[in-house]
Amino acid sequence: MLVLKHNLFLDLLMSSEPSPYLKTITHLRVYEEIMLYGNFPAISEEDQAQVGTFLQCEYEDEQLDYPFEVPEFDEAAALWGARILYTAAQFLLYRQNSAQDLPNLFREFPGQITPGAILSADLSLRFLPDILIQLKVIDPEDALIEILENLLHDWHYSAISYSLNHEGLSFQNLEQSRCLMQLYLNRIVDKRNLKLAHHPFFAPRIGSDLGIYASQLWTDFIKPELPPYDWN
Amino acid sequence: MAEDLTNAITFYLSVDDIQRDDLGAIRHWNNLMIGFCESLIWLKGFTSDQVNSVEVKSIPDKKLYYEKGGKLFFKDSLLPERNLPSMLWSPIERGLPVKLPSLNHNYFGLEEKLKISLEPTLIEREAYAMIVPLNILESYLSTAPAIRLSNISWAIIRPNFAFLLGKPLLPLAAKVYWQHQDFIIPAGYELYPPLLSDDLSYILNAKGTNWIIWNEDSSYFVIRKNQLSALSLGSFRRSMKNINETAL
Repeated sequence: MLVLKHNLFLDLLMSSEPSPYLKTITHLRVYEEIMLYGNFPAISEEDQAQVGTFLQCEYEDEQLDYPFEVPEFDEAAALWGARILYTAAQFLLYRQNSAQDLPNLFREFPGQITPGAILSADLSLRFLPDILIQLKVIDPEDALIEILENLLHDWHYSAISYSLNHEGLSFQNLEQSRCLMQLYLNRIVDKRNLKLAHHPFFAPRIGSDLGIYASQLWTDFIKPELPPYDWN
Repeated sequence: MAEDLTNAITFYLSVDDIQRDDLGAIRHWNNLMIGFCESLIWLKGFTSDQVNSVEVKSIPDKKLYYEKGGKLFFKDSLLPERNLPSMLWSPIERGLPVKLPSLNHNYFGLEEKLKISLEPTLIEREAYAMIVPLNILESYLSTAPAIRLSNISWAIIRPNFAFLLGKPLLPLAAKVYWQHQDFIIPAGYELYPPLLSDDLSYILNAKGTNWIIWNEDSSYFVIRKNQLSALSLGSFRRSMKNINETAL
């Protein structure tokens, strides 16, 4: 089923020799696996355009699952997210650049972080926590880990499955968009992230989502013997 | 009550042979032995409880003895009545066999039919399924938290209803059903006669692969269990898209 909806892109992949960048991103979205083709191949304008179209299709497909009014797709953010993920995956395998180059390669998103941007970038960024875990397994002292964690701190919707430092997270975007808010709560419950669920900002909202069925749906959330996380 | 072993009195009971049927009430006491002597039926092996029980007391024209030194005395009497007769003793089940009536080939009652229906009941059970109009479901789904849908599977029933199965139920204005085996029965009703539900389940749903959904008018329809899919907003919207495309 998943593969069928990408008919358009399979055609694209078949007709001309697709770029390694597009191949990696489509493979990631279809199979949820990282597949790298070569060491730091250059990304051309054309690649960017193709990946942009592909991500937009993905966004339109995913938004069927989004409640309330769905924010607009933000192509710049989606491309930025894909680029960050792609570079991080490359660094997982190849380490030829020195540590000084790292901040240049992982520059922050130049545009404004809107609910649409968060959801668009999340198409790729949601896989970043898995890469972070791999990086930590290889070398916990890696400078890249801190850089990526700092990035995720701004894009924390993509890091709900990751044990991020939750201090000073900005929830402004969540309050702007009910769609993003509901998706955020859904993901907290889905990933069973108790620490975030007991955050004073989310606890009452998740409580009202679960309603009187909390004991059936998520027992740990209301377990009295679990001390709530100390936020001070 | 435990038996008093120090006071083991052997009781005997005799009735006339033509009263054989009166012993039916005590035939199931398998500690009894039975013997036949001339035109009398003899029973022995009673416990003191059994001797004083209603079953024994209600046998008409019986003679109840106790035995001492080879003589039989009437119960509650000190005068010997007769000698202990000698005979062959056998267990009571064997001495009084049960006869089943032979098959009646001339029985013509086969056209009689049982009407199976749904009847209101006072027994309360937890609701497990609901049937809801698609538009009501849609407006709920578009704002619902995903976790509330996680235990629910669904299918579309033509023309425009959805069948939702699973607990906890969604907070919708809908017809509610409860589950009995593979039957989905309107809440407040149960199958009548209830004894037939196993047979009915076997006839309608021998392999257990279907849900049988009953209407209040005792009609039913069938949904295959593997036709249900997990409920989510995406699942709902994709299904509606499919329906609209095929309708065009």
